[in-house]
Amino acid sequence: MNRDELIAQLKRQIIEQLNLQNVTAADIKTDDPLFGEGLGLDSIDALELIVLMQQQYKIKLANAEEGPKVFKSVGTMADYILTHGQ
Amino acid sequence: MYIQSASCISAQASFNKGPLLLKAFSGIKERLPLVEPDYTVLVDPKLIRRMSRIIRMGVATAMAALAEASLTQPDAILLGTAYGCLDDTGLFLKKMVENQEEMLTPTAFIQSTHNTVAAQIALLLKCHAYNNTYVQRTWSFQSALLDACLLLQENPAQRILVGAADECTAYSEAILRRFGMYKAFPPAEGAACFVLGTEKTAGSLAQLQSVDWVAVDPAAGLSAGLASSIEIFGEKPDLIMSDCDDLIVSGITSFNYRRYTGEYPTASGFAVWLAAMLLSGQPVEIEGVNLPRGIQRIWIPVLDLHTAKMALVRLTAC
Amino acid sequence: MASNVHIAGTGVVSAIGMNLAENLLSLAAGRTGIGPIRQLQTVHQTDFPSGEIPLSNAELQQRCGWEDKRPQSRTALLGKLAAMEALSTLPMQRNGSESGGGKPGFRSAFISATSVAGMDLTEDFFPPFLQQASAGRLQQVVNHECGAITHAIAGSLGVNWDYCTTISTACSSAANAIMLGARLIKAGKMDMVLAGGTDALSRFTLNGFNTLMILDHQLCQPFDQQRRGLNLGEGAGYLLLVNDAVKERFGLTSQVRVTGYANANDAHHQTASSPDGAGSFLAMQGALAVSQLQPADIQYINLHGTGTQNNDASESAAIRRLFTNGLPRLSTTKGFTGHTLAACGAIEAAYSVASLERQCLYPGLRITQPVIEEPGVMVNSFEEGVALKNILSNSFGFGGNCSSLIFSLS
Repeated sequence: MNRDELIAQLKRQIIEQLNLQNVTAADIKTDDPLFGEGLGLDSIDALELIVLMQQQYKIKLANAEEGPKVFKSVGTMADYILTHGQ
Repeated sequence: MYIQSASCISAQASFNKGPLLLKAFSGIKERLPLVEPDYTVLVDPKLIRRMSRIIRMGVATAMAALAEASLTQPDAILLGTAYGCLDDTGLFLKKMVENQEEMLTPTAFIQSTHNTVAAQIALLLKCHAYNNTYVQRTWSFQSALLDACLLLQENPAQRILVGAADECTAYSEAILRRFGMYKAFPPAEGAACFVLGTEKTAGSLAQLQSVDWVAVDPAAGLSAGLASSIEIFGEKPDLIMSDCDDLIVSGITSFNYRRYTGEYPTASGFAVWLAAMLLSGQPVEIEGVNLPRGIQRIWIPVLDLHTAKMALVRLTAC
Repeated sequence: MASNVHIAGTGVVSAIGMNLAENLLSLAAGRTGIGPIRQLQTVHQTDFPSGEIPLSNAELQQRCGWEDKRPQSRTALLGKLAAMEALSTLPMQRNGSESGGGKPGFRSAFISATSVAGMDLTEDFFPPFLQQASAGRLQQVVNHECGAITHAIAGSLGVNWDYCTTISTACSSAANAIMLGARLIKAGKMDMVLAGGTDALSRFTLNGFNTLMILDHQLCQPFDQQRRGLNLGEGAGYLLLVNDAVKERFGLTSQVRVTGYANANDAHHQTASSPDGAGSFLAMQGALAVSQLQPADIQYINLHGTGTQNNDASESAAIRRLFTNGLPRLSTTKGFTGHTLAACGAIEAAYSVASLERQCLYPGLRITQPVIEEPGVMVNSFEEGVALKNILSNSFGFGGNCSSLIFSLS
């Protein structure tokens, strides 16, 4: 799939995995920070996203420290998947 | 010791202020629906997403009790829960079995620990004070109350948040039914929180005399145990709320609170809340119960036949 | 005038020994009990070294003489073993007539702690149950809940307890149990309290911790700059706490008292500790206040020291903030036992009490680059002939629950 489709899919998956009630895909800006501000996710969500990467995209992050870079925004997540995954 | 405020979520409309009309749930087999408040009013919606029902109930009643007592930082947070966070426990177990121990997610595990409710309350308040969780079956709340009494004895200036919470899930219901539970009362859940202190504040609802553990001869039964307690304590309550039917104790009005809460281990939290309402003169009608006038003293026993003891909470009007 | 809280008995069972003496020998010899998992059925048997007790449930059941011959929760079996050992210093406790328990004179309480409870059996129940709601053997879930395990252990000890309860605050649980026991005695509500905790390894916990990515795939190196995470463990520990009257009545030898305790909450995050260790600091400071001691009066701290990046950083930050005029000696024994979760507060209390009685220090293992670099602070090998008067023991858990205990030579 192309980058735009992947981004749209990622937004839906993030909402589901993190149980973000009252948040729609349209609310998540592709290049806005996911952690801290923006969606305001925290370190437990980061662990959830690591599982999401593994389950949906077969990408295993070896250690949690890679997380902040990869999960900076939906955009960086998509780019990581496109370079490392299926 | 004074119950300075109280809040309760149950199958009755207990959370809102106003006249209470408690309906009896007789002959109902299915799980009782909770009457829940709009949690988003009490808790940041961004945080609610992670909270299972027991956490929501616990947090909501805690926040309400604190607000009512005009207390922002309690000196201790104590919680009693028999089963803890069953929903997240079941969720994690299910995933663990289905995925055969691979690719599991942390949220359910983190939320499954028994101290999650008390911890969540502390987190929301940024409260660094003493924080404890008791998990002793039907005595979980009474254990928390005992610790509260100890704390107040050690430092009478403190104001303590103490509560009880238990939830019911599809799994727990199925398993407990197989054990023969829910024959008399339907599955249910609920939470109750109180602020306790040694000062009689303007809004104080009732006095907590003590919580004691008293030996009961299993052959003689709870009625006899209560009768001898009347001797021991040298006082006679006006009302007894227990988890037993057919109590006959010196002509004292008594009823089984599980008729109004459904079945869950820490339902005595509801009973203490109800006692606080009655003792503070709130208008209360309880379907099927002829309440005596001028109630000044209420006893709430919880019997455990296994250990032949009852935990007895004694409350009086302010 | 409040009574002293004397420690009159100790019981420990862990990966490094089935009783206190065995544990202490292993500690002195630097012999770890952490290794591949052999008893617990899990796909992760070789992924995560753990402090597993090398006995099957059947062997444990026989060893502790559990009356009911049906399979019991491993948590209960371990608990009974340690509880029996702690009670063994009391004469005639079997028939209950001299040990108190409801009889005039001595009031006794059993305060236990656990996080796993009966989950070790429940997780075996679940696979068939998930297939079909009527499947699965009910015997495996009858003692699922914490309170049921405590009742099972309490009932098996042959004492008619006046009060029994269970605390579950993750890794600080047993420390909180000991704290409650001490407070009940000082308040004059109880004369004797058996306090501690028990936790067995389970798939639930092992997998749960794995989701947090804080497990070490190798032998852990707590308080080392290169640490990679924790190793789980299992075990049980109980202290028999008695007041002055009971100590005198039974002529019990006790050289150590519980003199300080505190429970504080970090209120920072559900599982991670704050960088500056606010909760840890408050717990240690609070314990000092209760004991009316100054930081300089503490000669040694048994660290919580799990080996996670987070805990060790946070705990050392808190210690530095509190002990501004010189650090006490420090070590964590989790490199021997693994992290025994709800039991660690009691197991490590037992080690601390032993240190005081024997005037010795037990080492931390596998530290090459210590987090705390000042020479002579970390204990790296067994030391004897150390002048010890007061020891602080830390137990910090999920949910920000931080507890510290202080033990003092009488």
